[in-house]
Amino acid sequence: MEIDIERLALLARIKLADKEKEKFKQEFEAILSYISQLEEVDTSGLEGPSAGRMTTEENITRQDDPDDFNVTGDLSEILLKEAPLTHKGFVKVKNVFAK
Amino acid sequence: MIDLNKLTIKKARELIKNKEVSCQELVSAYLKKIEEKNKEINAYLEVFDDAIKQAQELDEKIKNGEDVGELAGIPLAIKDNILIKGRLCSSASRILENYHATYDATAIKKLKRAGAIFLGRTNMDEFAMGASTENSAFGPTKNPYDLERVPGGSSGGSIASVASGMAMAGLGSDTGGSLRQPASFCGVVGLSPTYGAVSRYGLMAMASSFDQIGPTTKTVEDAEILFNVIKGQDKMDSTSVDYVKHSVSNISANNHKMKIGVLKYDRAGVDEEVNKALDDSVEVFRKLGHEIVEVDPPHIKYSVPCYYILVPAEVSSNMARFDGVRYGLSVGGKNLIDDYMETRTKGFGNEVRRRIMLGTYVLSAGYYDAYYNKAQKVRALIKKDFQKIFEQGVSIILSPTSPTPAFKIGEKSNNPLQMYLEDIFTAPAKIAGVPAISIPAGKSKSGLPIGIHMMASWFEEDTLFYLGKQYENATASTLA
Repeated sequence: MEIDIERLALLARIKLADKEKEKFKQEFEAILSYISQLEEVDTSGLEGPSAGRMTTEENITRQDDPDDFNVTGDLSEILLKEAPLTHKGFVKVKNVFAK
Repeated sequence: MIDLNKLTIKKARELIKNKEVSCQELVSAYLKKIEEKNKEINAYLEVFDDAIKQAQELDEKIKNGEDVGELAGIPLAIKDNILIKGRLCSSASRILENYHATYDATAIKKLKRAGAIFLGRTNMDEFAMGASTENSAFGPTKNPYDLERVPGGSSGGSIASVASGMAMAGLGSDTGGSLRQPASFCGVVGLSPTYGAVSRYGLMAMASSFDQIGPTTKTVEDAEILFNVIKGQDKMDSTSVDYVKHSVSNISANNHKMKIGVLKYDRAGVDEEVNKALDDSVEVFRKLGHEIVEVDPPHIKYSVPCYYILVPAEVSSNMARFDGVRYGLSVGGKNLIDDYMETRTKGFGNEVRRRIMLGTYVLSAGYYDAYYNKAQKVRALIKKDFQKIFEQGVSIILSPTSPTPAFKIGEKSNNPLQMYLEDIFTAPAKIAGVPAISIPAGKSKSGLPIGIHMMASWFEEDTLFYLGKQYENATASTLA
């Protein structure tokens, strides 16, 4: 089992130090080899991944009613207070595209 | 003189109702115990300084004859991944170290309405990922029975606080055993409700098709009391269901006799004293007049591998929200993507990073079918196994909760696979979504608690409570 640990970390948006790369890689190999025992289970005739779903197949909907949210005070203010960087009531982020 | 730190919810309610104890006296006793013990046990990350004020307000209302709710004055410990509006809520992670909850979880809302008092927020494995509470960014919680050992996890803080008299009861969450395994390590009760029985609104999502909020208590009856307060459908969680409509009580009389299925398992892989505790409990149930049968569901042994595909997959999606933009830690990098990477690298501990990467792997193109898709199909087979057993008239499946009593701090923390195998008896219930409970079943020769584990059919928590209470009564004199 070959794991491209650098690509995996990039996809997961996580940086790994060189020392960690080898450690995580070895751990993943052990874990993947353990979970691979599922190969021996006969799952023919089952439709995945919906076979394992935990909820009913009906759609569950609700009214999008502001009263359900039990808001006291200014919600935008409360939420903005948790944002690391804000500017004039907006959440501030770096450019998505390089200038 | 009543020892207030050993009271059950049931007894405390009576005392408060009869005005023999005030809410303030009760809460003070717990705060005092926290002051004495929390430093060495590290169960609480924060003790709420207004708990006493809340108790005084309740006492005032009681004096005026106002309706104060069925849990008035009951002091509870709340796991740090359940939102209480306005309070810090960190999931024991650096990434949320300074995050304030912006709303109440539904379970919290219900407890507040019932008059419960929250003593503080408790330590846990970061984002509930772990089985020892060693993965907290704020230091491990210690087992009250032996400070060199783990309390189990991930709800180790809530459990240890109940076990050491620092809370009357508590809330935790259970994804693969996070309430039941620590309950067995610390000699208390831990309940993982049926999937959908309790709203997950306001519970920080780890693996959404597994997570459930549940109680930890000193007795089965207390677990029942708390469960009945927090259960029920919630329009804010589309996976919660109308409990009353789904539940069927199979208990026809006070002495109703049931069929108890004892799980067949590899006894050589389990501590001898744990095997013996289970054998003893089987005898207790036999003497109570229940029929004992052996059950051997063919796919149950695949539960842990199945779990460690599906859970990391869901983790990798749920953790994607931590981007350093809207809330929590933000570490600046060269550009936007670098901001994400720096923030997540500094903010997440090793187990969280491990599960995000593992989940990313099993969901990635080329591996999705072999891992995620396959595991979903195996999940269906495990569910079918359970269904068959319950259709044959078996009321509960009995097993140990954990293969060993509490292990030493550091013993397994460098071997993730070893740690995952802690879930061997507790993961199956979560794969199937059935309710399960761990109940104290005595102690090892060295004085460490051991638990037994019962699983019932979907929405049949009643059966767990019925048999659990019978077991407690039958063993009250021998196990105490």
